[in-house]
Amino acid sequence: MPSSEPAPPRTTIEVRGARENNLRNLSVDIPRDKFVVITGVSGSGKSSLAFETVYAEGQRRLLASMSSYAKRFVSQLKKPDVDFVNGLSPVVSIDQKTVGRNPRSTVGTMTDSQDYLRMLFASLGQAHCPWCEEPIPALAPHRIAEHMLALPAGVEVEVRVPVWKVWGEDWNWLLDRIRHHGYRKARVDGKLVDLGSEFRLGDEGVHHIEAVADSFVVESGIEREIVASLNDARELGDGLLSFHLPAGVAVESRMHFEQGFGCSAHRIVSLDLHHGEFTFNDPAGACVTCGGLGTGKRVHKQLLVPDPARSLRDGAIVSKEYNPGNWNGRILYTLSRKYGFSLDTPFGELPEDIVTMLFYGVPDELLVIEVPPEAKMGQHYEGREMGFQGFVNDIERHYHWYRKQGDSNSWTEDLLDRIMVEYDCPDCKGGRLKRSRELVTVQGQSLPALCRMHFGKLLVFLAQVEAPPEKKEVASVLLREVVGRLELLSDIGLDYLSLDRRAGTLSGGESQRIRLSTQIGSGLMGMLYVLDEPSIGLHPKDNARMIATIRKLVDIGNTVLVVEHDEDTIRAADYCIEIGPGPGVHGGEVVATGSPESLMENEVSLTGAYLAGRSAIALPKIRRTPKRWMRVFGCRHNNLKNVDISVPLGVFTCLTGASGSGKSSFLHETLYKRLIAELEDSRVLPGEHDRIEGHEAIAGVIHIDQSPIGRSSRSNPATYIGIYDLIRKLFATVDKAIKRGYTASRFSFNVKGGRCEPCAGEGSITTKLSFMPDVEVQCPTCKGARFNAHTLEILWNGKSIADVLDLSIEAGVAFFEGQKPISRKLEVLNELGLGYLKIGHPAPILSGGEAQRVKLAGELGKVKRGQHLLYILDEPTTGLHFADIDRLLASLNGLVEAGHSVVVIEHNLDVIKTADWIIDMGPEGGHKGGEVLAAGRPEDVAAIEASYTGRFLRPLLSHR
Amino acid sequence: MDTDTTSKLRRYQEALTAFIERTKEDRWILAVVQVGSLNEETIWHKDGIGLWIVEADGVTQRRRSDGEEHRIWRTLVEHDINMWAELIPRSRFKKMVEGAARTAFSYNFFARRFLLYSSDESLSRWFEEANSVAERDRKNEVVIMTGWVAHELRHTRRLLEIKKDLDRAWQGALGAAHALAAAHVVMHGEICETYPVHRALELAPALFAEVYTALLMGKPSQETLATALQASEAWLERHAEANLEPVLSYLRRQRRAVPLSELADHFAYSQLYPWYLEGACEWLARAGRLEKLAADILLTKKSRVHLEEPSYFIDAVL
Repeated sequence: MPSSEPAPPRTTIEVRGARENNLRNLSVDIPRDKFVVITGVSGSGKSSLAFETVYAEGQRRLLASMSSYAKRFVSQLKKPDVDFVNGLSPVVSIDQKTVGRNPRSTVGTMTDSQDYLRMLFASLGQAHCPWCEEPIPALAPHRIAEHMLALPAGVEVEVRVPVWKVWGEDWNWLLDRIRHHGYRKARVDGKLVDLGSEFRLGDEGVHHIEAVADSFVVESGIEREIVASLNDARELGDGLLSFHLPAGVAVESRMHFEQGFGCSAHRIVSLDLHHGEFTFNDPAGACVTCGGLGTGKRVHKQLLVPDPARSLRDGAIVSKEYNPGNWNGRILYTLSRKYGFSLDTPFGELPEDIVTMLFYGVPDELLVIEVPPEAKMGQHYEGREMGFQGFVNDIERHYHWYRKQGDSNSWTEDLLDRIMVEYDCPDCKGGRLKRSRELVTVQGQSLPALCRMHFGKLLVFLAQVEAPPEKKEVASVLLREVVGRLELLSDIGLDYLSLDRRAGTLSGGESQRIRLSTQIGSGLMGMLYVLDEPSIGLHPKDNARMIATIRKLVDIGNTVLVVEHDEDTIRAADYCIEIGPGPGVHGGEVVATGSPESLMENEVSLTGAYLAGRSAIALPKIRRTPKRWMRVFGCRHNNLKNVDISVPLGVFTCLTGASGSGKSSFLHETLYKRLIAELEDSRVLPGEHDRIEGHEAIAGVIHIDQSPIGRSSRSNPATYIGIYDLIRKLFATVDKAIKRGYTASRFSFNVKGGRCEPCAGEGSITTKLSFMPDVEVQCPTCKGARFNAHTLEILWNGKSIADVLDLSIEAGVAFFEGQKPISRKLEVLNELGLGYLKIGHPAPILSGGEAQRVKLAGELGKVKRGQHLLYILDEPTTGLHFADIDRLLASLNGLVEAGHSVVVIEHNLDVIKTADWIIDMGPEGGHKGGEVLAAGRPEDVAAIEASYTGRFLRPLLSHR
Repeated sequence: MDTDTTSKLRRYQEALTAFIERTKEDRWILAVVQVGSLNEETIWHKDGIGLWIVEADGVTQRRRSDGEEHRIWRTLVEHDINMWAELIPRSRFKKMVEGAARTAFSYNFFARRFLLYSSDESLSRWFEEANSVAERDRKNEVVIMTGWVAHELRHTRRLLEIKKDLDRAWQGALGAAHALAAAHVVMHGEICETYPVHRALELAPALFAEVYTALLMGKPSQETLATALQASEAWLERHAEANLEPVLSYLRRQRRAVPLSELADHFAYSQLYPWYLEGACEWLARAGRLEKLAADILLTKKSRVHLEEPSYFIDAVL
């Protein structure tokens, strides 16, 4: 007989038979409504379990539940290789990928705070007259109509739309704008003009212009007409209108009409405020000059002429290369003849007046075109006249024209990016809104002003906002939403950010935390969140706040599954799952599960060993002493507070500090770019600083970042570090290959000949289906080998080229023993903990940390002595287990031993404690950071009370 | 005037009066405008009466048959005479009337329109003002017509001299005469309802006798055609500078070679389309009034190869 008792709620997510990537038919129970950490050595299969199995299956099932109609609009997902996953909830993944580069995306838009704030401004905002800045009422069109109709019948009311000059355009442009909106009359400085005539205004002077939108003779029943007319006028005049009565209207009627209706001097009234008018993504609110971007562009002369050693004939001016057959050639040749300079003189040696003329033209002179004698065409232009306004003017005018078209051409975009730099929009000064919108205030502050405040200050401001009684309810709802979001962001350590911060300038960690706070703000429960190393980019002090945030998510009834190596996060978890025991083929199994304490007691758990202190990263026996110094003076980029920073050379240096304290602003934006500009490419513009000293000691600078090594599946570690060419050559030396006339190119899957043609060397064939996920099947011809049968017949040491690509790097070291260049480079990859990767591992599926280590291996493989290089790395421990960090440190120290300098941005205390030198920045992020708190050996920094890093280091160094 | 025409005129006027009386009772109808004249000159060819009916804003009743077209047409009938009415909301009507950049279209648009009835005083005032020709519009219209004349003359000259095709050259010369007539009438600030050449014959009888009547009267011959073309070209030579002033003054202000696409963008909204501008500029370049040069252009969003388009330069001092 069936039981009437309801089934107890499920307490675990059951994963059975997971086989994604290296997972070996793995089965595990993940507790629900808990904070669960999946850990294990790099490449052991943590991400395969968390993202490619649990998240992928959750996502797939959610999409599968949609109707066929809805499925048309979403891309369908492949079923992961797993028997079943039971107990799944709706799943959200929050990874470290930085958000898009769209300049319209800001912290405000990402968190929706901007939307609530603009609604707040539409509800509580006080409009002001743009001329006298006196407060003015904001009224709906029907209320204005009522007010007009209260006048005696027969009185005429003229409705005008005030308009303002737009930066970079003349007064006549404004008059044309009025004409295009369909108005024929305007008042210019109070005088009525017919725009149907050829009325023009000179460039000089300031004018007060109002389009005459309508005039109504008051009578009953015309309310609709008035409302329609006012709404029409809204489009031209940013929602501001002025109302005027003719002379002769009775004083009493006039007083009654004008009392409280518009500012006393200009009679301006605002139409009711709409939230759409406070967004920079809507033409109704966006600054006309920059279109809501907050920035404009202008030509940077250094970028326009990146190499002054080049002559004009050699293309000194970017995009104005000399070609006798085109206009650039004709103009340059004509200018050189007229002003007597040579096209072969290096640009840097041209007299200053010639350079000025080339940049800014000769506005009062005529050029009579001379066609270069070597020109094969264009002779008919000889002797024709033209004006020349200079290449800088030319490009900037073209830029404005191009922007106004609202269309984009990829070539033009690339060009403009290469030669122009951004600057704050001269009209809105970066506020992104029209001036009339900036003049709407809440408690004396405009919306852009609020968006510029860091969250701490903004919260203080919002706490004292008072709404009038009739709007109290609306305001409290809106304020609650904004304040709630801002408090979450502050709690998570992002109080130094402001809402106007561009999304593209956030670090991966920052954007991950913002998305995390958005999820908490959503208040959903019963969700499954999957996070990828949330500790990345976090200073230990901020990490504690991140853990508290994760705990909050769990406390409101969610499950949080975190892939993590960070000790503090693991210790804070409710439950740990260690995957291993080794990387790649040696991993894919559950090594240990349970609470962090139980892991510590587990003898087989490598993580437990480190947590319990049975294993540890040792402190170096001696710390190296800096041999030389490189000094950067007056660093002011972003939040750097005009600081002088000394970087030691010949040692291993860690740059530490809270998130947003200015580490990247100094290392990447200032030091690295300055060195690149000095050593390689003068077009690179470093962050603002005064000068640099001591860089002469450096022969080169190498930045090893976490960007992908390639976006195509045809890129892999072997192609990146350059051993694939060597392997192909090796195959071409096999007797059978020689007999058949196979060259090295035969063993490439990129070119016709040796590759499998049906799949074009991909190894798989993708079929696109409607309503169903794309089906990717192994190529039936080559069975995934990527080469044709004839090519696969060539064996080197018993393996075909496909077998070699399928070998793990670790196995490759043994296989290529004796082939020095290949084995040496594979050995380096292996030493960096990448032995589990296949030699032909497709680049797109490498993690950021793996890609960085492949790049590091590439650099280590070509290390030369006798040349002092500076290596710059950003959190190289990303994705590394404790056990792998030792190997990484050995490689970095190897670079120093070879006579180079290494500077890394790092938060991992196990790395920091081993550094020769620490530069600690802070004390906090954003406006509270940008200073050097401490610099010295770890022991010295640990002794400095003001340094947070020092405080966290102290216990680690005391073991010494 | 024969009796038929007189009685037809009377019937039409009676129908119109009756229609207006009925319309006045509908408070949502603000005004009725008669499109085209009802007089002895025009009544002979009419089968109905064209009207604009101005309705209050927000009361438009759309039918499925109106489709996506924002203009709404209804055929009504009064005394068995069809009334072809366009229903226009007040706000749109105001834009139609006030829009300063109306050019060619509006020249015929507001010509011979009669406000038959209006319950909205401000609307009556606009209408009154709309029937005055905006100088700016007149100038743009003259540019269009002059460009058209230049184009027709060049084409006809080729037919006559290269092709030696008298018949087609004759047609071309007549076409040029019509364009010239339109330009001439507009230059005088007038608006024509039907054929401008008839009004032009009154305004400049000698010129149009040479370029138009002489062609109609005699057989097409090399001499008559050459004479007509020469007279038209002389007219163009005399008036081009003044007629093409909007283009010339814009180019002068720029003090640089302006690409045709940019020139066309400047005159956007005024119906001065690129081909009119090109015709005008090409004539000016041939006549040595400006320099024709070239400028780079990328044709598609993805293009990386620069093609060239005409650009025009005029020395500001000239």
